[in-house]
Amino acid sequence: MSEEKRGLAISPGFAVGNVLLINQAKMAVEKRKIKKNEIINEINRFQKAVEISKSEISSLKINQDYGYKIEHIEILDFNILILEDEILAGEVISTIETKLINAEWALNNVLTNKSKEFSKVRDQYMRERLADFYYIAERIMKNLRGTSEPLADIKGNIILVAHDLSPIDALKYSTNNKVRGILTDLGGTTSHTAIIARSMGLPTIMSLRDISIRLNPGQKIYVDGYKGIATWKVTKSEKGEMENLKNRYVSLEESLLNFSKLSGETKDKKVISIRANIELTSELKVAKKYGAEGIGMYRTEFLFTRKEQFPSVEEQYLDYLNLFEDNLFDEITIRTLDTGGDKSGNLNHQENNPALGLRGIRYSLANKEIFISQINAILKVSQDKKKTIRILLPMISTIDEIIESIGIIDNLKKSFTLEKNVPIGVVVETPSAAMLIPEICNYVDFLSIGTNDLIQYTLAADRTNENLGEIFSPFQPSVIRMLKFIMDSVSNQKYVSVCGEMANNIACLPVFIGLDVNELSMNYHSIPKIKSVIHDLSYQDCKSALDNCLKITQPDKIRKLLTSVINDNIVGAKPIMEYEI
Amino acid sequence: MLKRITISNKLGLHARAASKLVQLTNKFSSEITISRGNLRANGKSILGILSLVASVNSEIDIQAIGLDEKKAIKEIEKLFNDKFGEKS
Repeated sequence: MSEEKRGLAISPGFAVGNVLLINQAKMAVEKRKIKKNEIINEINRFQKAVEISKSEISSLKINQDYGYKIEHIEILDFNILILEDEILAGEVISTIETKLINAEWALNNVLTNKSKEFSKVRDQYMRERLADFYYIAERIMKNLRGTSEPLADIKGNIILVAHDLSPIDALKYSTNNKVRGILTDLGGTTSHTAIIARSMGLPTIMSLRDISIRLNPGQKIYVDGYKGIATWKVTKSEKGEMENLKNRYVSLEESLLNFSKLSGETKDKKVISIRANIELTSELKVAKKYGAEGIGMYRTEFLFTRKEQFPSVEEQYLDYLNLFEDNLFDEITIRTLDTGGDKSGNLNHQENNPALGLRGIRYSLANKEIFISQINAILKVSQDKKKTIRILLPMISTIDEIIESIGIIDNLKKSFTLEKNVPIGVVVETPSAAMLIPEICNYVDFLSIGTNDLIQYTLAADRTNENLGEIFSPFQPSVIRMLKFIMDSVSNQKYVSVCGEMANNIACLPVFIGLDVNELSMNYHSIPKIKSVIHDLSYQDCKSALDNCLKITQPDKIRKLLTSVINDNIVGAKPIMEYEI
Repeated sequence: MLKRITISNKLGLHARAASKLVQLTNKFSSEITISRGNLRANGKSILGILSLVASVNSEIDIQAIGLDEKKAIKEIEKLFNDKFGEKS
């Protein structure tokens, strides 16, 4: 009997491969079984890594410029003694020989055993010496990895399995074409690692709790990134079943790609533009493939948080330039830095209530040099590429914020020769902005309704809080009425787009079509499905469904009403609905 | 050859003292074992010695077997008596 485990479906796709365990306590440890004729090579690699580590520490000792005191020298001596220690070296070597595992894994094993021994010791001083062992082991590990190309010795397709995978490691491994999928114990939809997995098109499941200790290296595993199910120990008789599943997904992808060619147009010719949200410029191609008619939102948080330091104007310029590579899209919306709330990164500062704190435009206006660098980079790309870039300002709650931001942008524009207009828009995601729509429309060129935060702030419900259940729901009457209020307040026929999870929720489509929004922007994989459903709906039906929703006060009833509109009408997308993708 | 020693330096066989001890024991060809109660450790291994967790006033047995065992025991005893060069 096979075993399976469910987690969060992070990145869609179906993959099969052999498990490569990445142990990331403090460092990533590759775990690999070796053959008998590889033993000598692994022992040599280990000894070489120890020698390099020793000479590194010795060179620190010789370099008296640091002004080492005698105590420091003794600490360095202690480190060297551990490196020379018979127990450490002897145990690692015998572990390689008896367990037939690679040097990294063997070192990690010995270290784990030693730390267990030492953790029993009551003496605090001795326990603290453990930190030295880790430090030394890290150094050996680093030098071990320097002696071999990662993944070079592995045959066949690989599924990375880790307790937690850092974005840096995810990026490093996922560029190797042997890697076909990722499984982790921790992690969620908005983590940087999830973003990378999606942009690389790697089927990924996260929050699997204990998958990293349940699997063995080299084991064959199936990754269903659509439903978030990992399956292993598949028997011969069950293999056919998995093959069938795989084939169903292949034909599903085919039909999705057919839908991607549709235009966002209802039966009665009501047009709505369907665009993609992206977080990495490497997602552009796949977004185009899935039928995106533009980039409705390029989020810049990842660009700002992937390194220790903020990107310079030049680094940002080069990144934004990539948006127009291959001329895939004529128009791209860049959202300025939206740090804070659940979008934590190294920008996060301690606040009691980050969701209500210094985030979005508030952060940009409090750190003007960052905002100015971002706007300068955007304007320079627009000038050099002669392309329209829409600037989207997040987390607006007052008119003053809009006036100040536009003042800065207009001032910076003077240094550029811009052939194309640079439209400025704001994200409507606070009830305050919703109340000020007529005035906002006097200042900006377009609006983007940010549904995730709008629901959160309208209902005062944190969407990441599991205890709140149905309170955070797009079907809450207050949410539907809030959207209606916003659309009724829009003046001067300003262009309105919708982003956030609601935009790719099929049941919400009648609401947005009925409300006459101009654009829906979503993750690229949802685009074909959404296009197909729009194709089967009529504007008139959507309008009357919306009118009915506005009379209802219970979210359950609103959900039922909208779902029945979808079920009564859809034809093309029916077969794919069961996959909820 | 076996010798029982009472640890007299204040910090016991901590990292620095253990380092010095291991640097000394590795000069001899004899096999050196250090034990405290039921715990036994390779006297040439820093990890081994640390795992004894020998603090001040604890008694340890030093065993040396080999050609230079006499010299080894003598110099090890001296290192302990000098309190590993600690001031107090």
